Order: sequence, then C-alpha cells, then structure tokens
Amino acid sequence: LAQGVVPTVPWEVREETLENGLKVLLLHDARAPVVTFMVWYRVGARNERLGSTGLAHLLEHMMFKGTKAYGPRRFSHLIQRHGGQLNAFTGQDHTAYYERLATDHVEIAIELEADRMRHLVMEPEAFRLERQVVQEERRRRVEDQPIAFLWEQLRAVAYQAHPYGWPVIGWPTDLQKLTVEEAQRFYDRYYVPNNAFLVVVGKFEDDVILNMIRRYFGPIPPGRPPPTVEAQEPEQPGSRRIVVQRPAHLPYFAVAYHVPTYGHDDAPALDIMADILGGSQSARLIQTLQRDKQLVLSTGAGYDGTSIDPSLLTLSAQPAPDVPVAAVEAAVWEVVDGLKQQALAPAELERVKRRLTTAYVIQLDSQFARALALGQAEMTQTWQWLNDYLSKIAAVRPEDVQRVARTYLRSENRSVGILEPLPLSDTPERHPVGPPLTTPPATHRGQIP
Amino acid sequence: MSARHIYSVFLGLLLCQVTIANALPQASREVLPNGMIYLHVEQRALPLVTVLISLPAGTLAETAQQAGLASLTAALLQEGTTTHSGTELAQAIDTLGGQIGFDADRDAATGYLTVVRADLKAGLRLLADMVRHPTFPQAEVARQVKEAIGQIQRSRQEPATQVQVAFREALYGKHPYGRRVMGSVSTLPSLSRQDVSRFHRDYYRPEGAIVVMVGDVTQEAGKKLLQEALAGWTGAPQPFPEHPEISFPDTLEVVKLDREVSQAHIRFGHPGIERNHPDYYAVEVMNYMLGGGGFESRLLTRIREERGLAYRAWSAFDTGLVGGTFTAGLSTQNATADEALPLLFGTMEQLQQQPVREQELADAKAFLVGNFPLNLASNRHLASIFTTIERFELGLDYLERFPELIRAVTRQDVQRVARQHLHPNAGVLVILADMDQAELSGLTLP
Repeated sequence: LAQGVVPTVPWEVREETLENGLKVLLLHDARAPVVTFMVWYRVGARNERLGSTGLAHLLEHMMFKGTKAYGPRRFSHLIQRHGGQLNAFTGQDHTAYYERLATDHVEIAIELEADRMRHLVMEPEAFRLERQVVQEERRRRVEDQPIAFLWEQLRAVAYQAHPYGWPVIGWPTDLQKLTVEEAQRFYDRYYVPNNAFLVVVGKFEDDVILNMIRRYFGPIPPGRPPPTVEAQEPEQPGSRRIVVQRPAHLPYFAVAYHVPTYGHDDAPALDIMADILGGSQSARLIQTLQRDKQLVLSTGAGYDGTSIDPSLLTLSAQPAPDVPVAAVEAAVWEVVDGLKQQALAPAELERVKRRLTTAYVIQLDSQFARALALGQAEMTQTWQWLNDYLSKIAAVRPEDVQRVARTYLRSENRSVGILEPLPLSDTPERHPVGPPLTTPPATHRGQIP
Repeated sequence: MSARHIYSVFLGLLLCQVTIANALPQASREVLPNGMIYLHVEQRALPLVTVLISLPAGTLAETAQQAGLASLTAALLQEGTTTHSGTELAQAIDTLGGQIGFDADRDAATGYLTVVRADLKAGLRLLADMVRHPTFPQAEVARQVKEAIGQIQRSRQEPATQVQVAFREALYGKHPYGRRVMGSVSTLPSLSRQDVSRFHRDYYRPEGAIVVMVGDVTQEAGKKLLQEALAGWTGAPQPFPEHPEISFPDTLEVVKLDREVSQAHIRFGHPGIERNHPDYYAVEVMNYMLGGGGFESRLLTRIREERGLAYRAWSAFDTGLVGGTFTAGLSTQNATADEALPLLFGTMEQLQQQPVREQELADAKAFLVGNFPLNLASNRHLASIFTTIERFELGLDYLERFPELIRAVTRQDVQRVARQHLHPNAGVLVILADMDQAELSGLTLP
C-alpha cells in the first residue's frame, strides 16, 4: 500500500496569565463559529484523604447547585437556553468543567464559571441528595459491573501508599458519610484562580475573549497556595495477586505494572510498547491470543502517561467461554516475554509509529478532543509537550522498546487481578398487568406498517 | 480497557441535530453510473478525509433464522480478501492509522474510513477490496461465530445491556427490531460460510448505496478516487425479506428480571414515530422537555435533582428505516424503584394533561436551534448527518430549514404530540432488579 506523508499540524497556543495567577490557553479552530470553554482545577482524588474519598467528585456535582447570584439549576438552564452543552469530569489529578456553545454566547459561560469559582452555595439538603445521586452513579458504574469492580480492586492493590489506589468516585463507606462542611473546606482550599487554568478552543477573537475573561475572572483574589501531595509509592517489592468474586458469566484477567508518566524519558517507548501489545487489530496480544490461539473474546493494553505521579500500564483479557484463565495468563506472559527477548522488527515499529502519528492528527477533527488534550497536557506537563510528542515518538528505536519491556514488565512490578464468577440466575418472568387501552387514539395505529 | 476512570456529572452529551443560517456546510449530490449516491462536502481546514458508505445490509436484511448474519458478514469483510489475509488487512489498516472498517446495525451496514488526505487513495482501495473481494475463510467464520456467542454470554452480566435486550424482545417480538444485531446463541451456530457469501452477494451492491465524503478534497478529485477504487462494481441489492408487522401493545406489559444487583434498571417504551412523520419536530421539542434535555428535562429534574433517586433518567425517540421507538429509562437502588417508577409515568402523563409554559417551550426551542453549529464542526459529524439526510430524503437544504421546523412548534403542538405519541398505559415495561429488595408488589402502574 502506498502511504502518503502524515502532515504535521502544530499546536499554536497563546498563553496569558492574569494577575491573580489564572492561566489562559487559547487555540483557534475556525471551522465553525463555536467555542469549547474549559476550567481546569488542579485538584482531584489525589488530593483527598482516606475516610473522605470521593470528595473531589462529589464537589464537582455540587458545582451545579447554584451560587449567591445564580440559584439552583440556573447554571444549566442559562447554558442550555443559549444552545450550549455542559458537563464536568473528575480524575485523579484534576476536576474540569466545560461548556460548548456558539461563539456569540460564550460570555454567559465565562461569567457563570467565574461566578462559581468562588461563590458556590452548598445547602445541606442539596448536598445530601447529591450524595445519593453519586451513590447511584457508583452502583451503576462499579457495583453492578464485575469488570469495573475488578479494576477498582486491582488499583487498590497496586498502590499501597499513594491516593491513586482509591477510586475517583470514592469508597462506598466514605460516600455514605461525606459532609457538606468538608466539601466546603475542600472547595475553599482548592477552588482559587492560582490553582486553575482556562482552555478556550474554537472560533473567536483573542482580544474579545481575553477581555471577557479579565472582566469576570480578574477580580477574583488569589488564594493561599493549596497544600502539595507528598505521598509517594515505594518500589513494588514483589508480584501481587488478587481474586475477586462477583456474580458474572465469564472470568476476567487484568494486570497492572507501575510505570512513569509523560515527564519521563521512557514514556514514548512505553506508548509504543502498549500499542504493540494491544493498541490495534494487528497488536501482538490480539494477534496471538484472539486470532491464533482463540483463547479470548477480546484483549488489550493501556498506558496513560497523563498523570502527575507515576501511572500504570495495564493488560487485560476476556477469556472465551470454557477457556481456563490459567491458559490465558500463560499466553499473556509469553507475549510479554517475547517483547523482552527479541528486539522489534523495524517494519513493526514503523507501522506503530505511523499509526500513532496519524491518530494524533485525526483526533484534531474533534474540537472537544483538542481542548481535552490541551488541558491534560497542561495539567501534568505543559501544553508545549504536545508539540514535542511526535518527534519523541519518531526517535524511539527497537532497543528502547526492548529496554522498557525489561525494565517495567517484570513480575515483581506487577499486580494481577482475576475475576472469578459467582453464579447468576437469569430466567425472565412475564406479568402482563394494567388495564387494556380501551380507546386508542385514532392515529395511534397504522403509523407504522 | 483501561484501569483509569473519569467520572462525569452527567452521562453523555446531549443529542441533537439542528441548525443556524451561519456559513452552513454545503453538500453536492450526484448519482454515479452504478447507482451509488455520492454526497460530498469540502472541508479544507484539516488535512483529513472521512468517508461513510451505507449499504442496506443490516438486521433488516436477515430472516429470523439468520439472526446475526448481517453483523457477522460486516465483521468478516476485515478477515480476508482475494489479495490480503486477515492479518495483512489488519496491518494495512494499522499502517494507514486511521479508522477503517465495517459495522452493521439494524438498518444498514456502514463502511467507514478516516485518513489523512495523503492516504485517501490507499484507504479507498482498501475499503473497496474489503467490500468487493472478501473470501470469508471458514476458520474466520468459525472464530467470529464463537466470539459473538461468547460476547452474548458475557453481556448477561451487564444489567444495562440485559434490560435493553429484554425491552426490544418484548416490544418487537419476531420483527428484526426485536433482535440483537449480533444475533443469538440459538441462530449463530447454524450460520455458515455459504450464508455469509450469499448475504454479501445479495446486499453489498452499489445501486442505492449512500457514499458521503467530507474533508480536504474537492468533489471532482474525491469522485475520481472513489470511481477508480470501485471500478466495475455494479448491481442492485435484493429486497429485504418479509418481516412480521410491528404491532402496538394494547396494555402495559411488564417484564421482570430478577437479578442479584444493587440497582434496579427500568426501561419503558413503545413504538415511536417515523422519521418522516409531520410531527417529528414537535416530538423532538416535547422530548427535550420530557427527558432529552439533560438537566433541563422534567425527568431528570424530578427524579435526580429533586429526589436524588438516580444518576440518569432520560427519554428518547429513535427513528429507524421502518419505524421508530420511544424509550425512557432510569436506574435506582432496588429499594427506591417503587418511588421512581410513578415519577416516570407521572411525568409523561403531566405533559399530556397540562400545556407547557410558554417560557419552557421557548427555552427548548432555543436549545435545539442554538445547539446546531456544535454538530457541524467535525468531519465525522457532518458525514453522519448527511447520511441521515440522504437516507430519509430530508433534502440538501435540510440544515437551512431546520431552525424554522423547530420554531414553528407551538404549545398546542407539544400537548397534542404528547397525547398522540406517548402511551404510558400501552407499552413494555422492563424491570431488572433484586426483586426481594425491590418490593414492587404494592405498586400502581398506569
């Protein structure tokens, strides 16, 4: 197949910092008169304490509950009536809020975000209800999802001394008793302009946007610098293994290795290694376990270097029915050992590099993805890192991948988690109830042939 | 699968497809000599091109005995052609780096391609090779069948999937809309290589296929590359097999699934309006207020904001080729299912009984109209919107017309369509819960 040259599209970001310490990153995307506006706070589950896990995320929910100037539900109401979309997300390191709307209406988003940076009103009753909502969210995402439950347990085993070991959504016991007072203290400590930055991507005029930002965010006084997180995960002294029993139909196999983040020189080789293992259809785990040996229904590998403290490289496999987990595990180790024993063929490395390079350009099609990448880069490194990434990927040699495989994919550095299914019963029963519809509207029938 | 999780205050972006009159992307339309309908939108800002090819090869093209055949066929296009093995195809796709492949849903099979401009020719050739010269190796057929059966088995441990599957089955019965696209454990083992070959021969034909190309290429250049890649491909697809009629429930049918879960999953719905129904836009507006408008919707306000009973509570009207579906749903801990259910039905009934306030209507319309440009900012969205426009013959001026279609909706329309297109007492209600804890016996349903 004849391939063309992948064009480079530089990130031309303008950076400004307000006097109160709030940094602003501006990036143009002139394709449509639309703006994605994000506020990133440098606070996440990482900043919580045991006994209060889930606090950062619950506070994120509370941020939609109103301020002195704009009462309950006004935030979403005003954004949506201007045609805007809004949401927020909490991770280990960050809490971010965003609005996407037509450029003409961006001022309302800027005003409302500035307002809730310092003027949130947390009513105890609203807090109690929202804590219930988050408990429902946890049930939905974790309690009734055996694979998600396994991952949560595996993280807790991989990290013993660092907050990355607890779930962003919080332990269920903590969620029952988080208080509005501690949420208020958390908010006062971390929601200050000098602990946040803004990302604006879209079609706009710099001066217009910057003036609005100065008008609304400028008067907010800086806060005391928030406390730093000193926790550090010591080197793992030997392999760890857990078995999680949950109602399920099939077992699951998951592995986590401690690895450094994008700030480290090994990160580009780790990115390539994860991709070679499980990042695409021709990846080794898929080729070997799924296509050749037919042991699994799916398999993959993941490395996310965008975190402040050292991260995890994960491997996973969904064993096919009637295939023992032990057979899957043995096959996974064989693939991992292969990477350590033999340097990559240049063609395989070139294929992965080209794939990662193209994927990098393709993500630019989404304005939201651009804003997200910019925010994540700034949160953990600096945004300039985005412009260096591809040249770092290009510089990776076969021996680099072999070296990082030997350095990090060691059994002493890994935690293994296995989901062991408990029986599920699943026979439906049917109960027609309720009165018959006696007078169906005339148009009701016959709409559909 | 990553071990890293990010949590959001609200699941999913708001769905909508709408317009402003400001610099709208323009599409050209041309019927090619082999009967393919070719839509092109030039977007030069990024060095990328997206192509979607839509063929009448979804679940609607299967018989009930063949359930899963459409999905199996689409998957197998990537597993070997006369010139490439499955592994070679996977490597070629990965080398181009973009997204290339085929997928089937209930209505259609879709070939998709997103590549950098310089790879458009190679990408189209690869896509054309898969659609025209698949070999369906026996070993790959067997593997894909085995994997699909395994995936179905695994999905029984996912409450959200189970409740959706049970809802569709109860609502549509033997009609293809009642089946899972991936098929069932009873039909999949009987599907053979011959079935796949025949299905491919009958439904992967160019006449009437919709091709939408969006990106950094002119219409002429795009058309030339497309025609080169597909030279000699001719023929019309077979008509769909006969299917049972979609019947409307007369009563409320309740399906209970007793499971060891911490949360009750609730789905209610019934057949909904078709895409070309004149009430479609009034229904869009009404549904925004009911459960489509996120924090602004009545369902989320009552169930989540006022009572903290659920993370999500929503409603949607989906439109397929042969009919639409109305669905509403929520999940709440077992013990509060009996509290949440009446709110779901009560909210629907309230829209039928009381006219909405003028301001609420104005806000809903303002959102639907104002949100439009957000969905026209990416090539991927544009390709998908123009596929819909062509499939339902909405006209190339649809993007310009949309705001007027929404603005024309009145309070009377909203109440009328709520009465006409919502049927709280004639539909299917599926409750998946730990029935011992859910205590639904005392519940009064509509």
